[in-house]
Amino acid sequence: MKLFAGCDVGSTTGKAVVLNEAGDIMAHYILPSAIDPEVTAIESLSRALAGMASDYKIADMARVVGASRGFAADGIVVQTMKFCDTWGVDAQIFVDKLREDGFEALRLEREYTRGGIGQLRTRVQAFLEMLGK
Amino acid sequence: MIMALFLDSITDSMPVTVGKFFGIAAFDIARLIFSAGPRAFLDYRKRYEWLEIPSMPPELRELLPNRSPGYTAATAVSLNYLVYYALEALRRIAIEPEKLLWHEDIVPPEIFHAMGLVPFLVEALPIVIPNVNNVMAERYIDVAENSGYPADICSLPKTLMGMVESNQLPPPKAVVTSNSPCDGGMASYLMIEKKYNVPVFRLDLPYNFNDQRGLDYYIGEVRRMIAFLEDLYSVELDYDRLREVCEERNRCFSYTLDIWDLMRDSPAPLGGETLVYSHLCYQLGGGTHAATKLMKQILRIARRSVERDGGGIPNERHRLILWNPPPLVYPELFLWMEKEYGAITVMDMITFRHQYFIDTKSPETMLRDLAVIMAHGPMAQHTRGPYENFFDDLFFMYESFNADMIMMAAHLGCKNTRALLGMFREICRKRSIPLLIFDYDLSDRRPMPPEGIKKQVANFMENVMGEKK
Repeated sequence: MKLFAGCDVGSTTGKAVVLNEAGDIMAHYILPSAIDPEVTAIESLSRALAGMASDYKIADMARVVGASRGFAADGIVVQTMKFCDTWGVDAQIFVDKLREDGFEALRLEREYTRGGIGQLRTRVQAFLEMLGK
Repeated sequence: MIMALFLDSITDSMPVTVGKFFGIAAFDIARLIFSAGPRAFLDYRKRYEWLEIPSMPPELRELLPNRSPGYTAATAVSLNYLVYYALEALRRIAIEPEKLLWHEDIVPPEIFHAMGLVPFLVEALPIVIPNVNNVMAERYIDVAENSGYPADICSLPKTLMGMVESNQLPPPKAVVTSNSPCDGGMASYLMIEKKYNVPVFRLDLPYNFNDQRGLDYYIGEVRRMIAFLEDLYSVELDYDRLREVCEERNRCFSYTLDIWDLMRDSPAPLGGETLVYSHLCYQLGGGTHAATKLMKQILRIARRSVERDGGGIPNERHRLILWNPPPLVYPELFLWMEKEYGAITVMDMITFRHQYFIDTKSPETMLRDLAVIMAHGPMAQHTRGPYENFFDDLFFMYESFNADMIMMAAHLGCKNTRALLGMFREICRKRSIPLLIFDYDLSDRRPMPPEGIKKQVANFMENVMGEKK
């Protein structure tokens, strides 16, 4: 068995995909698009991974905004990993777009370690207070 | 005979060099005014705060006389070329705005020239501005950070994003960029795309491009870029014109190789930031006559510097290879090291390139060699792929340019290269190569001021290289 894993929202299972020796997908988690039986497992997996909104590509913005409306979200927390250049720049563009579209958005920068939990909690509490919650 | 001796004595003398510098710059300004019209010039002056005459820092004024007349003249003609590039770009943009194409510094402009476009190197001004006005560069960095972009990415893309936010660059019709040299650089183009809402083409350089499969893929990327531009600008790439451009680049490179031959011997005719400034002509104007003319001039001056002046600096004691980009905010560092320790930079990462000539036999050979030039260009190669990509050029340069130390400019915002520092120390220790790693920030003086850089250099030169305290 082979395991393809990556880091998403603090959990490596966010992108975990298990293949057998033949390269067929045996199990997968939270892939946003369905596995297409008409193409090879690798191709299907590549398409699914390329389509994930794990970085805030401009093309993904409309999709996320639409989903937020669908779930009647009061606010959106856009969190990025400290020192990640691509997420860092993308996230600001994304936050600007969300605010333009009338959403309340919190830009939150976090680290891999748990040392900053207190600060994160304070910022989220302030955001929730701002939302009147 | 007497006349010849007289002319030789005044050629490259300080008054002649200064006079030539301002004369050529004035000519470039006049050409912009006459060609684009006074209204366009005044409009540029109103819009772009960087379009100003910089003053000479006192430290530079104090240190410059240590350089030989030839070395100083080479510095001046290199600066003249940078002034020419900015003004010529503005001139052409005013005349043919519909042909303006922004391109990244990793993507050289030969193909764009052959297509008759007006290429504008986006990073040109963010590279030059910190050299001449660090306060202005830091202001753009603050604009980027205050707009919400991360403070810990490289200050070069931060300067660029600040300039874009402040509307300090002529708006593009399209942009060509790549996935090199780093995540910060790559991410900055997303912000540019959002700001201007124009088509952006991203060349995808594979992780390992040293084998045939990787090269073939990248040639395909170059072809895809050409198709994108042909479609967008409604022009066809004329391969005969591309051949002329490539031949011009080859001529330019033959002069460059002759300069490098002179650089191998002690005393070196020139070095430091002058090497970097002059070789920027490949990124700025690769395949143009102006770039060839610059290299020819530098070669002529370098020969005079050796034959007449006995080298670029008096009492050359150390020859160093600079790795990573030089501190743009403190170019005086090179002059200070030359004066204080007789240490001259004889080659560096941004100057060196090991792809020499373009085979112009057929369109296929030209595209292949241009793809290799892009993939193996300064920084493009060094910050991508296996670790050999980073180190092989360096040790080749160390040996072939007869250096006695390596100076690693450990830019605080460069995560790619800082990750290699431990390995760097280990390899140099094994090879018994004196290695100076100094912390600095490329475009921002605030995290590490010049005094801090000098202190690190002084510690090394005095404790490792045996210089007098």
